[in-house]
Amino acid sequence: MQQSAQQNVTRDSVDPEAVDEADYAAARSYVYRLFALAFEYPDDARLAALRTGDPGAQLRAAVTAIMPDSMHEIDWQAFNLIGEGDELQVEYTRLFDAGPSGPPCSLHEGAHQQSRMGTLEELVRFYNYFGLSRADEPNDLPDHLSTELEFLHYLSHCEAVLTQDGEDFTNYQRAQRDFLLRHPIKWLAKLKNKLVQHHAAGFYRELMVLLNAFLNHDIEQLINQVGRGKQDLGISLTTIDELPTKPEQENDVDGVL
Amino acid sequence: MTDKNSATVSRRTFLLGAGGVGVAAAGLSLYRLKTRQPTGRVLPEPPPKSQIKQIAYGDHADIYREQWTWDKVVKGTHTRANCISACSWDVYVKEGIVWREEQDAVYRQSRPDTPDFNPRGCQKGACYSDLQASESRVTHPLKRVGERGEGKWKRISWDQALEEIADKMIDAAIEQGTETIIFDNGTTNAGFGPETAGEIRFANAIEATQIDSWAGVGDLPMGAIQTWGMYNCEGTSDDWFRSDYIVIWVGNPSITRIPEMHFMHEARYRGAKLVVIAPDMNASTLHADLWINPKPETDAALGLAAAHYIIENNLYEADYIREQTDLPILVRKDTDKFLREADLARGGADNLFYFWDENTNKVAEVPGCEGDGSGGRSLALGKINPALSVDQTITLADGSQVGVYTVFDRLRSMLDEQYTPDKAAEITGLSPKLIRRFAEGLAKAPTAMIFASWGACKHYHSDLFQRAMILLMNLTGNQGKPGGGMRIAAWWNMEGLDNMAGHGMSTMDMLKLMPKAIRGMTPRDYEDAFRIYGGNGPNSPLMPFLYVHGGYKELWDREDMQDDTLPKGVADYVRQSLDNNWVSMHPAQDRHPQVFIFTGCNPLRRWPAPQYALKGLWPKLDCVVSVNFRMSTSSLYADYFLPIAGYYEKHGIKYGQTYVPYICTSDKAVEPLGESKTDWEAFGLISRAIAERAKARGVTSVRGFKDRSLDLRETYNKHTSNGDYDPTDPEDPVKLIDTIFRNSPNCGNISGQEALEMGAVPLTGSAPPSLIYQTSSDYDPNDTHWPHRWFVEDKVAWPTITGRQQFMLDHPWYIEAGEDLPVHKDPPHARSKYPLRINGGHNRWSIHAIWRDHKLMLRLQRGQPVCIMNSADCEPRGISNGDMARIYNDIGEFEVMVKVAPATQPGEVIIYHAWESYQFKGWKGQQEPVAAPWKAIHMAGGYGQLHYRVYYGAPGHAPRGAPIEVERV
Ligand code: SF4
Repeated sequence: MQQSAQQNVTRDSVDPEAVDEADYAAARSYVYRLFALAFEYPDDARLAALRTGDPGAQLRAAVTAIMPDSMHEIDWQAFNLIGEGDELQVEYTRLFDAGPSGPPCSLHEGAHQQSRMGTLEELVRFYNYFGLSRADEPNDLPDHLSTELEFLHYLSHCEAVLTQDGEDFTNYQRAQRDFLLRHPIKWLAKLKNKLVQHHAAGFYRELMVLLNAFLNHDIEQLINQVGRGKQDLGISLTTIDELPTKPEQENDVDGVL
Repeated sequence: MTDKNSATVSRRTFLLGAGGVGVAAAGLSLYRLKTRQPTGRVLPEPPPKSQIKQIAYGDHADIYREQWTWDKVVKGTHTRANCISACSWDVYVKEGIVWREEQDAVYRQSRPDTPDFNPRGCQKGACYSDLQASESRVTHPLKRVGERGEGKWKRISWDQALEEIADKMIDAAIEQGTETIIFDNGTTNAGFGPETAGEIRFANAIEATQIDSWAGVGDLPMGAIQTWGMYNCEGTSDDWFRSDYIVIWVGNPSITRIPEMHFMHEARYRGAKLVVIAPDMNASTLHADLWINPKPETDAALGLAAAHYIIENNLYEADYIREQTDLPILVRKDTDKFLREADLARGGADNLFYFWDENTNKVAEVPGCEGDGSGGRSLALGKINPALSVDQTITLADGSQVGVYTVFDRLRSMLDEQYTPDKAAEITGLSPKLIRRFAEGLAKAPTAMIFASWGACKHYHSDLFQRAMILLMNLTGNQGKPGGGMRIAAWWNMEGLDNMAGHGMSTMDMLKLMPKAIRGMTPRDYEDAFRIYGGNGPNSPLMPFLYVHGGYKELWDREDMQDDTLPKGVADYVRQSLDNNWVSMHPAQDRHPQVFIFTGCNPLRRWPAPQYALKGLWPKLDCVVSVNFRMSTSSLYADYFLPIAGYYEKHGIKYGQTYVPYICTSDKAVEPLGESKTDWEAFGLISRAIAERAKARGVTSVRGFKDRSLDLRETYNKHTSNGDYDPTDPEDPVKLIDTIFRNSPNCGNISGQEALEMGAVPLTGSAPPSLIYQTSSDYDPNDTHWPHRWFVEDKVAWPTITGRQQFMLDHPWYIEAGEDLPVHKDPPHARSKYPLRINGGHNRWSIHAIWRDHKLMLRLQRGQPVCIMNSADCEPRGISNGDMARIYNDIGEFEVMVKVAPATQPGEVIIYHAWESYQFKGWKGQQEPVAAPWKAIHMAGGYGQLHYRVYYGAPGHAPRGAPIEVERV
């Protein structure tokens, strides 16, 4: 069950510049939320919503609002390729849920890193540090892509509110920068490649392309605003899409869509 | 780079379009995360207008400033890993996740002069927290949507899964009866707690056929059954320390008994000799004082040659074998069968036997034998002094005369003829000198033991190996002594375990046993009770089940699968055995299995040549259900996958192997991941769904066990003992654990909650034997524990037809096989056209298939399936270290990397146990070319200890020695 914690924001005496900044952060926050939802299992309700075309349109509108110049690379049609009946559910399960030694394209960061427990520890430290904890209900491990995106949704939301209220928002920006660089950006290029290797349906392949593009754009903006920080991860922003991934044996099972 | 400002308008437009204004429109919506107190430093002055806390953050180092703390530490273990051990661990929990585990060191010393057990554990257990969080977990119920094995699934709700599965089961029950619903737990995941209780209650409630895989996994020591009428023979592992001569024979405890092995090393420090008998230089061999490397599968010849040496050099313990064995029992020279009362008197019993009493110079009845007139209770000789060697003439009931001698005489002359060290050297490839050295060392050691393990059950003629080994332990008087005797394995019993299954014997059955109970039950009486209990439900031993129903008949009836030392083929033995009701078959031969539900086990990885099951059994099945915590080879071919909690996500009791005198428990550390449920709840829900669907569909009566009428609407009532339990209540497992412990006085009468908090509950005394749990010795908390004291010290009769450890079996099938005495025989594959043989054993890095594909474990090996071959076999085939090779015969094939190592004998291809088939190219696993023909005379019955009942006396899976060829790919 989706839990909602709508924050009421007082809009008295707002500096117009700040509104703009706040809108920008809020738009990013909204995009993170949409991405987080997009990587959840497409249960019947979500599938029905996807069929309306609204979520795809919302995502397109939101992302285009933030990075209007980069959108020509994206095949927006793919977001309408939901397939017949339960095809998208089957595809999600094939890619992300189950398979020999695990699903071929796990949505859990730990599956793509050397140390699962080390990854989980840092994520829990990040979440706890900013006053969040793993929710009981989906009871998933905290390195799921949707959880990481939800955390970015939270941080950028806080940034938006603080910005609007004229407060210092740079703590939250620095946190987003570090979290992005140390987590999603570190592994999503690998996942993107795996989706290609495993002939993922266009919906998920293109979603991942879009997410990677968005993260590239977002980290660039964040670094412009708060600098690179102390860490040296050896990641060049221009090459995060080209991170070497080990070639894998072809899965015996081909894509279905 | 994008100019942020240029996007302002469209951003605003978007936000307005999103249904609100600005930040408020975007909002905050959390699903996977929830709010809590931040651990980050909250800046002292809260912003005046904002609800957002200002948290100081410079860089990521800040999140590491706070010391990591644990929410809780609970006791845990690996309840259903079937690792043959039990170790208590401290399990560390934070944020609803188990992060690590640490060995508990709570075990006390049994005696001041023996080392203690601390700490216990293995590297698999030490990373179970990681496996529990690994990607091989499945955390949502799945339904297959593509072809079986195609990998196409979708998530479904538990309700949908349960309803559909229940309907399939009811359909099967209506069509052909509930025996066509096949339940298999492979023995792999048997535990003492709610997990196993749940599945057994379910299977019992619907009277489903339960696959008896004790022999089917190749773990049943038939040689022990033939000799002892039982097979449990182990004590505590600290008892090994008391041995002076430890023989590891067909075992590799350095990697398969990791928590126990130190006692063997410590015994060496005390001065004990460690002898390893193994064709290959394995991990245990490295520690040996003496390595004896016979040709594979010639172990019986080695044992018999050592027996020959011991007898010829008068090194045997005459008093021991006179009392404890059948060696002094008289044998008719004309038939080479035991002299029986039926021979001496018309209408006489055929289970009363005779000695030649040297005190009276007459025949004397054998006390303790089945027909001794007092129920075969005591083997005490009293005034009888049985002659070991006899040459007498006896007058039979018909007046004719016949010469008699003893089993000892027969054995001795056979050994003289066939098994002198020189002759055995030709069979084994060993030097006669080495055989003599071994025999002398064994016989002269104050105490000697043979550690044989389950590996000693996985050869075609394992029973012959075991009979030879037990013979040595008898000739040297070691069986039943501290630090001595043949050791395989044994379990502690807990009386409270009766509560697991929900029901036991019927009142009528209990009444039948009452007179025996009043006199005090002997092992023979218990075995009678177990035969009644074992007959109370539809149990089918795996190998005959696969032969009749599994699609293997065509394979096992092949000419090259037959044992050419037997006068009949396997088909004849199966038919006779089933006709005589020696072995039970459910469902009956004229029906076919319709639903297959398995839990914990991995049949398509383990069964011989599993492609035959896929071709012959799977098409018959309307529904295949896997109830497991991880995706396995077999689960890939299921129709439904029901996700089960990991070991730290549920309450449990580890089954109590006797190595450590404690019962280990596992507290629930965290909630099951995703939608997974405990086994207790899952099987309870299946039972409930069956009852509900039966009601909804108006199904009143179906055919159950033996076609008796069964009301499926009552399934859940039976499962829950008429509402005593509620599997949907999260505390219900604790209630069951409480009942088990409170009814188990040998565990100190503590509560379930106390047991869960202790983690390792010390035994305080003994419990009576049960179906598999017994050591035939009383437990003394102030001593080490060793098996068979009741027989050797208390003179209780062994549960064999002769009341003694029995080396001669005059069952007609054993006579026609030439196996009435222990002999060496070549297995059927000895005459195969394929030149190489697959051998192997359990490995260091996994417990069966669990952990086999776990990253942390794979890092310690080559990271993929590998076989080990000698360079003498590799060079002619152009195979170098690291090459990929095709291993094949005319049954199947697989590809694997070759490790070239002189540690392996030429002719052997060693591939260690339990790679998942999906770790091989095309999912063709290491079992594909393994036909594993089985020993048909193990279907024998109608003779004392030679009978079948659940978990006892059935033909076993014998995968070792499969004939193959190898080529480089
Ligand atoms: S031996 Fe078994 S109980 Fe002990 S740590 Fe290893 S897996 Fe766990």
